[in-house]
Amino acid sequence: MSRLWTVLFRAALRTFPPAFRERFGVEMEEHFLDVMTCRSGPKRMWTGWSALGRLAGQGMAERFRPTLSADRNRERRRWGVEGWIRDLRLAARALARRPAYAVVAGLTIALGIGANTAIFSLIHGVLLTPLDYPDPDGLVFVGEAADRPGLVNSISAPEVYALEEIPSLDAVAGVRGARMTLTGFGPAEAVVGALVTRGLLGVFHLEPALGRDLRPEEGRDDDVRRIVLSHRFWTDRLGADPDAVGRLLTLDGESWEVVGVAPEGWAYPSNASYWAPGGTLEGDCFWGCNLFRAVGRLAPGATLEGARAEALALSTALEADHPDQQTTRRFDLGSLHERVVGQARDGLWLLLGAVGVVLLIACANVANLLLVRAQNRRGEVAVRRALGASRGRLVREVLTESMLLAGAGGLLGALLAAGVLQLLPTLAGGAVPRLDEVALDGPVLAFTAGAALFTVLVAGLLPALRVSRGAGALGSRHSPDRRDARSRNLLLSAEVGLSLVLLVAAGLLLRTFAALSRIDPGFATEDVVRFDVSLPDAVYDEADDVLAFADRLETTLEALPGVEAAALGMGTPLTAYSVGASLTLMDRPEPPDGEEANAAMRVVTPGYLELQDIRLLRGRGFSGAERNGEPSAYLVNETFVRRYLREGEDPIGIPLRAGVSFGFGREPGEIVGVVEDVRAGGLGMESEPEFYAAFSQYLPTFFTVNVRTVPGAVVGEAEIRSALAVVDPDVPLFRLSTVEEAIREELAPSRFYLALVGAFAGLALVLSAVGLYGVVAYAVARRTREIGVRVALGADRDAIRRLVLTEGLRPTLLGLAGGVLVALLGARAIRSLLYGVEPLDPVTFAVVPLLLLGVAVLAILAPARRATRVDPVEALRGE
Amino acid sequence: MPDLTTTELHVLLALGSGASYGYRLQQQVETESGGTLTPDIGALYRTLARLMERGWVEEVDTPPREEEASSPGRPRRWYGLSALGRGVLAEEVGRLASVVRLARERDVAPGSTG
Repeated sequence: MSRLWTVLFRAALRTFPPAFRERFGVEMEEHFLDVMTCRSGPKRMWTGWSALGRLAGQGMAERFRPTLSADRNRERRRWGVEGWIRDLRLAARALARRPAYAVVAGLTIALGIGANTAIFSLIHGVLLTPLDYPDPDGLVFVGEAADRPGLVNSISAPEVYALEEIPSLDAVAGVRGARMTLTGFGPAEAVVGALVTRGLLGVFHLEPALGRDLRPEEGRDDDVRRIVLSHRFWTDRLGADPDAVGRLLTLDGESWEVVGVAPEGWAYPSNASYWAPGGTLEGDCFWGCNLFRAVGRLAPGATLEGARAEALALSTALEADHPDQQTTRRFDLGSLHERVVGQARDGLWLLLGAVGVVLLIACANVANLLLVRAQNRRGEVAVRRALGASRGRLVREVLTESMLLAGAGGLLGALLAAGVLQLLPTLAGGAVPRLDEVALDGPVLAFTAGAALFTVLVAGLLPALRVSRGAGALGSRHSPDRRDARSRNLLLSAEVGLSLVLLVAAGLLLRTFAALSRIDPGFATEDVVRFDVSLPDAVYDEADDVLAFADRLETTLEALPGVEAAALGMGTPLTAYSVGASLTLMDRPEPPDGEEANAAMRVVTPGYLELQDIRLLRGRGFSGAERNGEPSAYLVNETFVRRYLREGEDPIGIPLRAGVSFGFGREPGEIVGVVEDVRAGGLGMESEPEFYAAFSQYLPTFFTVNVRTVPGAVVGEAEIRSALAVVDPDVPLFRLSTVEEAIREELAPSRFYLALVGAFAGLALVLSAVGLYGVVAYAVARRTREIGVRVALGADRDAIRRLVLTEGLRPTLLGLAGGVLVALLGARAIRSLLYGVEPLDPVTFAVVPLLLLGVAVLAILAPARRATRVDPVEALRGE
Repeated sequence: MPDLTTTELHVLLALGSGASYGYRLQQQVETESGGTLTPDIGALYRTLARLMERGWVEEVDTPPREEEASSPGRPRRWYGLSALGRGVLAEEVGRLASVVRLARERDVAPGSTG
């Protein structure tokens, strides 16, 4: 029994520090056993356990109390918590004595850390955090391989079904955007949703909040009028009705039965309010009708690579099975996360690089300030070392000071970042996805702390080591320390070099922005208002109805005051809707695989070309006499001619068949005219082959309405809405905007990156200038005596100014050279963000160093001028 | 001079009657304080450590008359007052005596009639 107590006692004794145990352990154990032998029964148990408990308590108390030896005591006070607190107090007092220095250093750090925190929170929320779905890693997007990584082209419904058979994929759902008109809830309203080939909840591993998901067989039959609602739609429109399942909604004039409600917070695509069956296997839209984006779920244990290989094999097999399909198709798939954020990736890393550079510059500045301070304290330090202060003790004091600065700067920086994050959505304007998931959360704040620590080490360590060195002679206080000067100059060079790199990046982005803004897109960019219209198919089920609607709408709009013209067009530039089609030039042999003609389809009314300022180069435009059911008249653009016709061939009269049937038109026809290229897909995108069909032949049920106004006239939304209501009150209007707005949106990413990188580059420039000024001013102040002697010996003021300028410019020029080298090597990294400018743009590389040099000279001039005013008498008497 | 804790004072006082060892010291303190102080093992040795650190208490040879009383194989460490410790104790007791005297004069001491 006492054996057990011995073991327990020794365990409890371990709470004491080793030295104490060594000294008293055996004795205490004896003592304990003596006590225990005097007790028996339950009393013994009680005594034993309570003694052990108290022993452990005493042990901890002993550990955290400095004691035993005088030596140890001092040691502890130096390195223990009390010591730190004392050091912090000392540092705070020292900083308070030099408020200007403290504020400049603290603000510099705060700016550096704040910028880093803000950008890291972007990277973290957008790139590093998995998508906010269950098992996000297993979600993939599937489609036809596109030129750019992270992107795929749409595929057709039968292809989606074929992909479902791949062993590596558990489920694949085709998704296409839809807009249906909701009636019965006040005025008619367009509601955005998605048509799907199967319920998406299963693919995303989600449970419906209410009811059930669409069944796979329902998805394949678009005659099924059943629908799953988004949680938001259910809350906003149905008042979160618990009996919503089974309710009937009128969409596009038809009655739909609600079968389920999706869980809160989820929607895919994120703007969808409902999911309706849309994966018909019958009818017009089958093979070659590539309307679907596909999301899939990897089977357990399957890899992305495996699935990719299987998808590729499938596309080859499908091609063999369906020789009638006109284009070669190669499936590709990637993670859904990549698809969502892929395009923002390069830009965000560029931003992180930029703020990283800003932080480095801030560190260099603060390090310089600390070096100067260390220099000023040399005398004091020498005295203290002579009196026995250890080197570690002095290092620690300096480090504590930089820690205090970094801590305060970090806090301020976090606040700054929080402010920037508030502005971000406005600033980004759609340039970055998932912005709503960006927050200052745990990992981001940990990053901030890391950045602060980094600052301490980078900015504080060199000065700290420097201050403790050279304990030696007190007299050295007056001789300029070469090594210190060299450290400061090296830091300066680094600052200038880093600033140059950032300024080059900003310069390239500025040139990109300018190039994009200068582009002539080929279509009217001013005084055009446009909006989208989607006609309910159930009501507009006759070709004549659609044509009548179009005619009446144009006439009504043109009657509005301030309106010059109105024209309808499906596939209007800078709208998200563009349908691609494969085309057969019927007068020539079938082209080899992969070389079939493909073109973007535009369906337009006769006035469209004139309204959009698109010039007709050959042949004729549309007259309005083209009739549905008659052979189609087509216009093609220059790129189409260049790419698909023989050189010098006359395009007019070439018979053409479009592989997509659309709206009501499906008759083959011939090319009647050639129009100029426009940049319909985006300002930075090269024109693609296009063909135009007459609205009166194809009669699409969704299209964009373009309204050209008299220059300067304002045509309000209310007037346009009422004009539309005159034609049909049950047809809603979407996305009313001016072309200027669309262009602004188009420029948003490049403006966003330019604004941020430009701001960071500006910050870097200011910090470098401040650093340069500070160092040169300090050098001048230190050399007042020397300058005084020179003046006394007859040096003229110009010589003095030259002396100071040369000293300041030497590190600047070194930094410029280094920076240019780094920028030359690194510029390629941002290639994907550039447009219309080469990464090694000579203009940027010439202007930026000159600009930096100019700023440097300005920063040096002030102290240089002060040097020329040194009064030799004063200077020699001083000190 | 640092303030003495009550336990420290009683340990010094117990050792004032001659050298002692841990277990006995604990019992002495308990008895002599009228049961108000029951230092547990940890507290007792921490107190001893502190007093030794200050040089008031030192380890002493086992008094000869105790030698045969101690069981074989269980050597004990004996502690006694150093000269400095004796002085500190005397000073502290003197201080307490003057406190008591003063309290008596003011009729605030226990047992005094007011």
